[in-house]
Amino acid sequence: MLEVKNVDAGYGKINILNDLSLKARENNLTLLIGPNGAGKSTLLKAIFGFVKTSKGSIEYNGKDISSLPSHQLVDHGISFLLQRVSVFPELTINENLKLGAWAFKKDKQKVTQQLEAMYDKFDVLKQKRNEKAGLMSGGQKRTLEIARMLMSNPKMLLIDEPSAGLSPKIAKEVYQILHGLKDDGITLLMVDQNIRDSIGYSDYVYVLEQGSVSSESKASEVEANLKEVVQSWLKF
Amino acid sequence: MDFLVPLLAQLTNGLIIGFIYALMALGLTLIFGVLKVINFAHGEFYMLGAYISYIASRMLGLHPIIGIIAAVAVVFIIGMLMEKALLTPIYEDKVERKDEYALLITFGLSIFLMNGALVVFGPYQKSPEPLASGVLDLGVLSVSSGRIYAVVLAIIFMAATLFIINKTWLGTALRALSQDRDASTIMGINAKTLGSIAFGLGAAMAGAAGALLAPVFLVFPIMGVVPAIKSFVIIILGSMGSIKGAIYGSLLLGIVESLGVFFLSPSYRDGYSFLLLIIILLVKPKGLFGGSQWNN
Amino acid sequence: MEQLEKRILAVLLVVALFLPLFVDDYALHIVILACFFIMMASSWNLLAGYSGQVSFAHMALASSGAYTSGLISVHLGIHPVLSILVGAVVAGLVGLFLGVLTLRMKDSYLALTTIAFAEIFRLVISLEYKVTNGKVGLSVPGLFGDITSKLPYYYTAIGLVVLMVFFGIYRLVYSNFGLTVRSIREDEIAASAMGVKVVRHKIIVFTISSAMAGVAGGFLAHYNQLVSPEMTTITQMGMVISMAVIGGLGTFIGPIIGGLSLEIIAEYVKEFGNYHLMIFGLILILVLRFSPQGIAGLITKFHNRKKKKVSTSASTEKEVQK
Ligand SMILES: Nc1ncnc2c1ncn2[C@@H]1O[C@H](COP(=O)(O)OP(=O)(O)OP(=O)(O)O)[C@@H](O)[C@H]1O
Ligand SMILES: [Mg+2]
Repeated sequence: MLEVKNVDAGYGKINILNDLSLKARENNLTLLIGPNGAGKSTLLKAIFGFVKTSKGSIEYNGKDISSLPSHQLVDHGISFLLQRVSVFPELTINENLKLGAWAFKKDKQKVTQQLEAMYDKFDVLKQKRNEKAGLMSGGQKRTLEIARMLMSNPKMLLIDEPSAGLSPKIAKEVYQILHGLKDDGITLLMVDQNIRDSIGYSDYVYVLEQGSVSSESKASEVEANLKEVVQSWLKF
Repeated sequence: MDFLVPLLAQLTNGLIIGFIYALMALGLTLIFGVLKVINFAHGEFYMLGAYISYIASRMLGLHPIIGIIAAVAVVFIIGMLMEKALLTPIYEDKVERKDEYALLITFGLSIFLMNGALVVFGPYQKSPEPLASGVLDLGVLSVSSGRIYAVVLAIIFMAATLFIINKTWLGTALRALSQDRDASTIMGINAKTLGSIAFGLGAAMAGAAGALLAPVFLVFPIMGVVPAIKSFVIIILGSMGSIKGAIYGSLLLGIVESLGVFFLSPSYRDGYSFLLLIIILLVKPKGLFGGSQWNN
Repeated sequence: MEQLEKRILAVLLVVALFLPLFVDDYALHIVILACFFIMMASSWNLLAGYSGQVSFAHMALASSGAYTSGLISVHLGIHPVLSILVGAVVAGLVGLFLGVLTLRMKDSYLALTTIAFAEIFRLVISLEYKVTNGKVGLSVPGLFGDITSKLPYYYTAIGLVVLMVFFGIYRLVYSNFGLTVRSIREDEIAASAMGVKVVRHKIIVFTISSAMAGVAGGFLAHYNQLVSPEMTTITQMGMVISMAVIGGLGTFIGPIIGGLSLEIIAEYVKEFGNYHLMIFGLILILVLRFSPQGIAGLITKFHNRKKKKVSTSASTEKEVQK
């Protein structure tokens, strides 16, 4: 589905990713873990075109997307959840969500339909639909971002720390929602530090260290002996 | 009570001009809000608008209203093209000091357009066909009907802009872009194209103001300098990037100017606003209406 | 680069010294004007290119020096040499005031404030005609009395450029002070974190460059024997900015080359009409867009390439000899 092949990328002259290769298999949840500063966010940004690659290719359904402008990736069905807060604070929740449907804004009916679907899924958003997004709590903002990302009916999700700042209960809900997306045929590539909670929902796990993949394994294998694996992989 | 009538006349005039400056300042604020750039060529878009309406009404013999519409359309296109040609390096991380680059390159554009107009049209003052002749009698005071038409049109243009910004997809996207560029891109919004549109719209508003005021203040190459500085003053007064602030700021400026003219000296009309700017920057650098952008 | 710069300066200086032997008064007049612009562009570059304070009030500051000098020489009968110095002090003080006023302002705000200041200044001198004689301008005594020859003015202009730019600004930008000022432009927060007294440095630069503008303005006034508000228009400011940026913003040699070449071009183009400012505006845009280091940047590039070629060919020769 998505294949990163021998990619180098970085900021300005500083290279962060070194000859990095990985695969996000169709209909799977691929988990990316690694210490702070390993380059996990940079990898997702490189896939989405926010960071320019200087070597290698990024293939999506067999097509190299590394030179496409970022905004066009949405039309190809790729959505991105940034690590940082990315709601539009001065727009209402309703406006935020609507923008998630920018790709098919002309189809009024579909937009309304998607909006209603999101409001059904996330009750908090429904209650506050006409409030400014900037006034929500951190967890509510994260929820809005996830809902907004789903508005466009994506086929592939790039997700950077979905549970950061969320209470365990909400975090669990979020994982369940993301996990459930696989049933709709969505492929996920997710960065998450909270391996203990997220591993159960994952299919593949990659460990990133200093800009390259240091190991790759099936999630089930990791889960079986989580303790040792975590200790040997990550010297947190 | 004898001074009341002339004072009222001054204030009316100040408000009329204020509304038209509001249009221009709104354009500047729109550009700043979306692109985070101050357009130092704003006065030259105003000048272009005035010349286009002059050409349409005097040289092509079209109705003044058509001249104004032509001015808006042509300046919109020129503005978009200029943004594409000159400002895109900022968003491709190709320049080191973005503010300085934007500042100098729009200033260069201003010098080019101003002196280009001098080459093409000469230094002489020209007057386009006014929207209407005669005066409107309001009892105690009378106002020229040309000015009334100009204000009405300015208000219509402003209302149209506010409608676009607040009620349409384009406007929502522009507001989103002004708040978070990356997040907008993630929505699939083409930030570059929308940036050009925002610049074009902002420039077109200056062009509209120029076309509207052309019969009042005449048309000449450096006509944009003072209005441009005034719209800088207004958007600082009203907090950069705030739409509400731009409108209130313009009206405030119109009133301050007319009071200054009335109580102090008419020849310093333009000076009052500049002085106001320096004072505001000293005591309340975030503007009178401080706070969030696009706060409508 | 420093070596190259010194060589260029030396050549320019030699040419300048012997030029009067070969050319007429008109050419000398152009060089005198060019000297004025070199002083203006170089001192503006010190402010904008080195300390990052893009001011639009530089011409107004020069004009404040010019009016001060003109007025006191007319009314108090002081010799222009002295009155120009007084004008420079006044311009420096006004610059100090402006520097303090705009100290905490970011690029755009500073630019807007200085434009507003320059416009107020222009308004005042245009309108207070009882003092300044308004738009017509104020007649002031010549620096060398009634002498009509250009020669003394010519050598004075060259002397001022050598003194203020070749020595003054050169020493400044290549000193520790210059390095510190540059680091402020690169990153003000980092500089202040490293203990640089950002505030003091910025104000000092503003004051020095304003005083230099004051000298240039005063000199021009007593050369033209006239001070008028014309000098403070935004287009004249545009001329100075074009010279500095086209020559190379933030380089020492740039504004010198820019000032000289643009003034000469301007004079020649003027024969065909008022095209020069339109052309400069266009070049200014093109330079910023495609070659932000200006002419100086091109010279350095060319120089380095030549040096590389020479050194590679030298090393291959050595290899062959081995
Ligand atoms: N905008 C930027 N400019 C320059 N360097 C950056 C930028 N963003 C990140 N870096 C650097 O790139 C490296 C990798 O950062 P990245 O954000 O990809 O790490 P990460 O693996 O996502 O870490 P975390 O777990 O803390 O989110 C870090 O050393 C960081 O300093
Ligand atoms: Mg990260």
